[in-house]
Amino acid sequence: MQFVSLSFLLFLLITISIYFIVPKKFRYLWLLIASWGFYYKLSGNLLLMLLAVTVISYISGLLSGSSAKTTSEGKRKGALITGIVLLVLNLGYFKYTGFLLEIVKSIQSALGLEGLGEIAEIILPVGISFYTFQAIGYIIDCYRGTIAPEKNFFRLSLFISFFPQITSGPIERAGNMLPQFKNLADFSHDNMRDGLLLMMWGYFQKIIIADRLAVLVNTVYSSYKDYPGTVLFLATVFYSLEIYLDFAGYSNIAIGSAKIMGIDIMKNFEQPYLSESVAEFWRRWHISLSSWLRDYLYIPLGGNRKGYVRKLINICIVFAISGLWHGAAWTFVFWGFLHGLYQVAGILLKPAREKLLHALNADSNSFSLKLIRIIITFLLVNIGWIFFKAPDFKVSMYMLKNMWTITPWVLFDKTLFNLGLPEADVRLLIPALIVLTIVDILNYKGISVRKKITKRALCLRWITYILAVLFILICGVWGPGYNAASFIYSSF
Amino acid sequence: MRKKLFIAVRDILFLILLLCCIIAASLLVERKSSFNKNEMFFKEAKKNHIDALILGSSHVINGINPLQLYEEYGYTSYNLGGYGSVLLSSYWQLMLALDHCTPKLVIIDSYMLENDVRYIDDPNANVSSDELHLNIDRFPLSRMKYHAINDMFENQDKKYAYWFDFIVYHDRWKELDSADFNRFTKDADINRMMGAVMDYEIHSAEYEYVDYQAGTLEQETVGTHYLRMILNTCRDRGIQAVVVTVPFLAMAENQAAAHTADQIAAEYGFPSLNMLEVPGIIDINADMADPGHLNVLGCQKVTSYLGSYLSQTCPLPDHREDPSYEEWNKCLDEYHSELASMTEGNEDLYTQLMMYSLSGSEKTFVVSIRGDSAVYADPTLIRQLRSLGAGEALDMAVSEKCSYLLVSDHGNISEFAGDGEDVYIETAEGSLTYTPASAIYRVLALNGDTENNFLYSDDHAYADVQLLGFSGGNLSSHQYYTCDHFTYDYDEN
Repeated sequence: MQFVSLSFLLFLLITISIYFIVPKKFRYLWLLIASWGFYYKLSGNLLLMLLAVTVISYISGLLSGSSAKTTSEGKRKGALITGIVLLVLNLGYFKYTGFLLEIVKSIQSALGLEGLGEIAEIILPVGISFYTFQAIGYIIDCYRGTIAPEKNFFRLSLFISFFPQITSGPIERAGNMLPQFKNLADFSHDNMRDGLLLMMWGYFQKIIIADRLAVLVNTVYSSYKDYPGTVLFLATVFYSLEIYLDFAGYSNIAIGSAKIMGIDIMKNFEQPYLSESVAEFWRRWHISLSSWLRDYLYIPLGGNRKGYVRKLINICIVFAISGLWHGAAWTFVFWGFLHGLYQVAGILLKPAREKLLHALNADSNSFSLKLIRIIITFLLVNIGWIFFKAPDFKVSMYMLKNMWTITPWVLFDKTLFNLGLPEADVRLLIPALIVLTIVDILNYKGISVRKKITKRALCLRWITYILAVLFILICGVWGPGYNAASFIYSSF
Repeated sequence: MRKKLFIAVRDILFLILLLCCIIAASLLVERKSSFNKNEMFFKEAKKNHIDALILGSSHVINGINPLQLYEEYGYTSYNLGGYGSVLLSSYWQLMLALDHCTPKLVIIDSYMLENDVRYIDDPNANVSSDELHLNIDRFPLSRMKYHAINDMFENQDKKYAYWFDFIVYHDRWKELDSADFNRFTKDADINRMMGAVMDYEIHSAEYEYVDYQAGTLEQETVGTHYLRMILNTCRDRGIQAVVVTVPFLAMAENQAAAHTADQIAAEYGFPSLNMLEVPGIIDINADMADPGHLNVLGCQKVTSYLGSYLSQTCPLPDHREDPSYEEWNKCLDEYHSELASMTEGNEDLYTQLMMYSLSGSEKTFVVSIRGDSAVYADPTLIRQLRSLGAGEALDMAVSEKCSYLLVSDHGNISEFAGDGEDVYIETAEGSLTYTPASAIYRVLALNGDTENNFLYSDDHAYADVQLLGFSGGNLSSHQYYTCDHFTYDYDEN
């Protein structure tokens, strides 16, 4: 049951309708039933594993978060470590067994040893990386005393299984969600409207733009040697946009779905491609993961408290792990590590940059310098995405080497209309991307387009809403033959 | 409380408005083929003007012309045949139609009775489930449509696209044209042939119909089950039914299926007409577009035979003089106008000869072939000429590759082969003089006006085939076809 499906919309309609009918104190139970049902429909019996993760989190949370007066520090720490180890082992088994065995095979092959036989493929449970991190975050918060352990097993289950975020996040914090589940909001017209508008924006990002870009990108990547430099470069830019709109689209649909029920989920994106540095990019990209890694990995590693060199090492470690979290392959690890290196380089070169600006007497807040920084940051991130998208280093390096060959005529000789996407769809992408850019810039400046619309006169509002719905329904990439291109992040 | 009520009413109004816009958008982007095919059905069903429903596959769409039945017998019928329809889909087509009208007669073609595939979306089914859209889309979502799709499809995901066709058609936004917008106007393009579609092609191969002496099908099939369902429904509702098998190049299994259809019809006490076993209804080499489908010539013959059969077996009311059926007369006039417009000026030689064949009894025309022409090796052309009435002179022309001329004067055929003396042919349009001087140079003059030689001009000296139509005592059309491996270049004076 993908977010882009009639069945999901029906499911959401039924779930929300019943949600507001059920007495308030039982609503969380209804949400839990709906969430488990949703997950069962997606993963079948793997629901049992989700339950196992919940049980581990529940027990570990209770023990590690129990009062220091009643439980010794050793026991609390033991419960914390046991809980985390169990959860990480579980994640590791499902996500990294194949990767590790491939490494073993490579080593055996290099040493001339007899290789391992064929190993049965392990199915990756949907959303395992997301809910595992969410569960680990909960246990650590209990241990730290940031939150009180949740004694109601079903409420904690809902926190870990909540259907809008179970497949691809945002990776929420118990401190934000559990209080909301304890006191679920009444029906609010404003919440419903905001939620629906956010969902619509998410669908616009996903099925109007991202899924069209996906066709162009996949066409080029599948036969990259057939295309000249500028097409390769455009494909990398398109992928940067695709992955952003795919994931941000998903996040908006998830956040909007919850919002209708009066539940606030944290933001996951804040115009990442308007960042002026890679460090800023990570404060705006996949915010729930970045902040999770900061709070539960970077800071426990020592953060910036243990010296300059250690800080740089910690950054590289955190980003390499972030890469590994995204996918069990060396290309993902390298992608993460590359972002770590970007940031280390940024820190090391900061004095030189400042000196240069001073020497040139340039105003670092001027529009032109901001623009240059945004473009450079985008290009650096764009290079990173090549390793993220390409199946192996060979393809990545080919793309990286050849995409700089300038062949501008491809923009005029209809080459772009021969990349697997009909001409009309390519043309549609242009205004859609313009709309996206304008909205992102307005949001960057703190202007909420949604709020602006809701303040217009009724008839203007209605016309806007109706046109938006019709546009998405008619021009969206959905229906038979649509492979939901699945949301890219749902495979992590 | 009042504010809440106001908001609720406002939201409901908004949802109604949104729903209306979505419905309008879905009508705009929908593929118009089903609307085109079935719109007249809804219009006439509403007026209770449909006495007979014709069900079946594309064999029926191309093979039975309701307007001809109306013209010749005054019977009002609607052709609900669907491309790739099997008995399963025909049954549900009937059920959907019965929600909108109650006919006196159902004519059901038995083709694909042997089909034993339970679901239309089964990969082993010999039909494309997409073609069902033609039959289904125009019928509004109803309880019956819900059951129909549920019964015909196994894959739940595929069902949605038939209940809500917007799912498949929304992507047509990039191909919208005036026809799509005319959906909302009176100018909408709809099939005014009462569901039939004429095929104006002829097959190129030479067929021989073989009677395989087949018995009946060895076991019950999904097809026989649904034929029984159709007959049961008719019996329960007091509707007369006729099982027919429209002629085609049937294989042994098809012939057995047709025998089984006879048997099943008999079980229910309904008549059955197996046209595969009625000799002489069609010329299988001239009246078919391909081995399965009749062309316009075949359709005319089959419809005429069927009409005669119905008039004897289960006659229906004659509505020709009924003023409330004026629309049927208009449709008939439009059909005749279309045929008249196609009588001349067809770039495709085969189509042109077919149209001459169709209108031969009302027209004077000449077919001329120059000597040494390669077209004598074109079997399709030779078959068509024979169908027009060519005989020994054509045989001679083919064997000697000499020049050839055929004159058809309202069905009276005269033909000449080779060089020789002047010949005179009296026709309804005047006296023709034909002087075959050589393979290339020949003279054809009307009413002694030898200054105007119709058969020779420097521009078209090497045209292989010339077709000349006469009307009102004058030459009305002159078409030249030059052969290049049986692909004919066309020119016209």
